[in-house]
Amino acid sequence: MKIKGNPLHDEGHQKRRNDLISALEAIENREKVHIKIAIPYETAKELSRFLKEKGILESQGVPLLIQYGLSSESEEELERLKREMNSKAAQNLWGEYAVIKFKAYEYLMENKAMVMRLSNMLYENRLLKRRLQLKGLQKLIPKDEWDSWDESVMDSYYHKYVFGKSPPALHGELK
Amino acid sequence: MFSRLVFGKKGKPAVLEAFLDKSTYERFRDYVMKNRLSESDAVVKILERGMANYWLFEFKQMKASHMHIKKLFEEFKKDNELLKAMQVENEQLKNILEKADLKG
Repeated sequence: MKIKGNPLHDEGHQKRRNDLISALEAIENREKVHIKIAIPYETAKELSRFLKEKGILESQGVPLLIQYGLSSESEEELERLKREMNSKAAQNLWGEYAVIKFKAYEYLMENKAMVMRLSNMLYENRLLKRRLQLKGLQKLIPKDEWDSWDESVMDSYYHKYVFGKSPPALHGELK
Repeated sequence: MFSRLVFGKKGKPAVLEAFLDKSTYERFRDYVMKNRLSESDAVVKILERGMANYWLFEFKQMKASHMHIKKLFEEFKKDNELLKAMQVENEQLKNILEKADLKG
């Protein structure tokens, strides 16, 4: 059976998606302070152009620029930062940052896929070692870090890679 | 319910709506009081400073984030090597067992 059009791009799907984004933003904004201020047309135009050039959404860019504009750096500190930013080392840092961020993301996704199968992998590993033992091949059984893994270790992997957060505090101790 | 710019007629003032963290809002209030400016004049000056120094602040944020990402990268890499080692070991153990089965 052929499906006409892409279901992810139909009008209903887009509307539901937009509704969901609005709902999430509304929840996020509930804790924030709403300001509504008239500003000169020229400033608004300049701001709008600036955000477009940088590819930043108004919803994110406006509070970000206000936050940046209010930062406590003195003119001397900004000048020092400017010198540092223009240095060769800083240029390399931007590049290194982009690469390391991408690689960290790749590892994150790859680890997530492996952690989803972790209990099976570990079960299989223990079963194979048990079979080697039964065959009298103890010498071939490697000693591994994961031999002692229990539920709490598995849980911490699940929390880190599948749920994307730290495991809950144990015995009142913050991790 | 999100930060935006609302334009009216060309040349007429626009409306800036923003949702700020409490701490940012308090700093905004302090700025208005300290400099004895109207909210409108204050927000214009603040936005101009933010735009003028945008890359400097981005650079500062990047430096802070770089340290954090580097730590995460090392951690993820270590986990990746460990998880892959388990997969590889399972295959090796299966091969050993298969050979042992064949030998009888």
